[in-house]
Amino acid sequence: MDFETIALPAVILVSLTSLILLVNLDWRFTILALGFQYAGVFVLVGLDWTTEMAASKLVAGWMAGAVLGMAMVSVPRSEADDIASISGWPDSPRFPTGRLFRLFAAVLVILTVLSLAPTVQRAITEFELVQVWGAMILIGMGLLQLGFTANPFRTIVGLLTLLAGFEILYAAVERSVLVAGLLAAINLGLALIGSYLVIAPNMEDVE
Amino acid sequence: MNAPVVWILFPGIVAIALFVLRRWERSTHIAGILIALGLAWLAMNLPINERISLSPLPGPATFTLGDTLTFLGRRFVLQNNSRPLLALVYLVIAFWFGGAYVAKTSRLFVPAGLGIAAMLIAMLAVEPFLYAALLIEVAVLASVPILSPPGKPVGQGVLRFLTFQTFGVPFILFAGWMLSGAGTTPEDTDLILRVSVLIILGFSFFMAIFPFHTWIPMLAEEEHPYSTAFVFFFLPGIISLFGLEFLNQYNWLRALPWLYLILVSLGTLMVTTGGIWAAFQRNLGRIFGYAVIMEIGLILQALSLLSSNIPGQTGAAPVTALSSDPQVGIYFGLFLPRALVFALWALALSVLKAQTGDLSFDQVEGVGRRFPWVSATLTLALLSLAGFPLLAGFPVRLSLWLVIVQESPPFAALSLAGVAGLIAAGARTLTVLISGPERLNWSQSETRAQIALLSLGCLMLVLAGLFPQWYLPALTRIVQTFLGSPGP
Repeated sequence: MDFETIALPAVILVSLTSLILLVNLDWRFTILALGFQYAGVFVLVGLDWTTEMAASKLVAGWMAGAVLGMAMVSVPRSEADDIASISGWPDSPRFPTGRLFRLFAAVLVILTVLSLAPTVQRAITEFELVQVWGAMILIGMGLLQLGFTANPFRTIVGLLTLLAGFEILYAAVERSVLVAGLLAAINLGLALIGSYLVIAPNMEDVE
Repeated sequence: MNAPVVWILFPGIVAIALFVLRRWERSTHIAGILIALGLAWLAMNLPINERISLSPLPGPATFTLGDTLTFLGRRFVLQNNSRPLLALVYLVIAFWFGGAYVAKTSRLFVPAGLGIAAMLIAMLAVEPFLYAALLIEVAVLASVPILSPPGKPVGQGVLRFLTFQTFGVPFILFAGWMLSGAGTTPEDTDLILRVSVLIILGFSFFMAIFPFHTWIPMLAEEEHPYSTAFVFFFLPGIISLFGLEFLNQYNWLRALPWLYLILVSLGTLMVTTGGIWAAFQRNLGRIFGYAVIMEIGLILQALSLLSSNIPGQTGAAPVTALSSDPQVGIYFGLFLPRALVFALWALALSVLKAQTGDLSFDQVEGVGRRFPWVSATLTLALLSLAGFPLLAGFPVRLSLWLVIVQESPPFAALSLAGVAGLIAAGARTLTVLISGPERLNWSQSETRAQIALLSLGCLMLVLAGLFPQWYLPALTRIVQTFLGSPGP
């Protein structure tokens, strides 16, 4: 499968999805954006890996999203919205200053990535420029998400985003099946731990 | 049948089975202890890659326990010289499980603990060993349920712990990739700098080295003391072994002229700030957290000694192999006293927390009069970690600081300032525990099991301090044997 032609649209896709993850507070859109984000990761990883191996990223990412989604469905509706909020203080519907601030920070991250990416690509020639763009945008947005949030659901989404960025770069230099398997297991493990942390406060110790 | 199946796969499967059976709490604890002891016994008695007879008389019923498990194209190797370390790890696991029931940890403690042990052994067995970073992350994920048990709101410390540990993975994996291209004696100084920065950052995240240590006091304050102490003991301890393996495999790392300075500076910074900040805390959990930071600083100081005696320049081969370096004994000598002190301190804190619900000074004021055994244990454990004479921590700390004072006296002086801080924290703790309303009479509210474990632990603290010759030579041999194993 030729991923070269769709690599740039994939970078645009992961930029948009990571922006949605950062700005949108509805957990349903978050899960949906996470799913699309892994489609972009699949394309960027596919530049170096075989389609079958790259598909493991897609499958693991979608499964992680499904696990998180099922956890959110299982908590009461009012609590789910609180859990998905970034800081615990919801934005005012009339003047969403928090969202604007996060949007502004995200634009700064994207500008930084665009200026730094060629230097990184020159330093490590195994990377393609589109991969560096996609990966660094995801890493930056993931870090931003982790910096803004204090709740389990958003922390896990931030970590998954950050790891997805790292996996794009690492795929360019490492083609081991064991590493692919372990990274997929870590993605799933993070999602499982995230869903556990979402529902654990309402669980009984004795089951 | 091979060794990784026995000491990695089997405990992993048992951990899953115990998770399913966690409803029967006492049985799960007993099963966990017995299985850990059984695995330790097997490690002591079952040779790897040698013919083993199944009957007492010589006959055809023999088998050989292989050393390699191949999984997804990579190898997990446990050789004969890993057996003493395997035995030690599983004995220590059994020791921790032994106190878990009395400490009233979560039901997930034993299954998750066994799973963590299996992952950490896998981390030491995987080849190339750089993939261990991924297995560390799996162990971290397994430790989250014991830190944040069901029915409790999720604390910020757990999230920060998970975040910082996950940050470590990419750095170590990239460092591994760069090292694989660097060879045994890289000439490119740019490459050496890049690899070194990645390794330092990766280990800083994994081992909670300054400034990435902030989750330790947070966890110690928010979560169950025994569970947090288990994580504080195993993760930095085994990850430091992974770091030792780095130094063992890549000799040029040990020869870097600034390695000693970085390790000893970071270690001293953690010992000093950990001790001094402990003196100003108003929560017994946070005091424990800062003492843990101090202990991680000591690990770094001990690791720094492994590079200090190498006169070579960058790229030069070291004079001695790591396995024959006498300073390895100091590094590994910290292991057993740390297990004892952490477990004892955490058990005492668990008993207090079960009584008061919170470990802030306001809540525990005067409680020591009703819990004299707990108060005595807390004080002894704290003094032992500070390196007080005749207690478990003293002999190895003395050896460590004697070397450091010869190499760099200012670092030794700063370390002593940290020790003074921790002793001050101990004095404050004791004062708070026994002060309070005048009418409160002395009594004994601990259960018999708690008194038995606490008094036994205190006795072991004193014996380990009085007779270090009982265990220090054996510990040194274990790590030297482990490091002497031929590389992949």
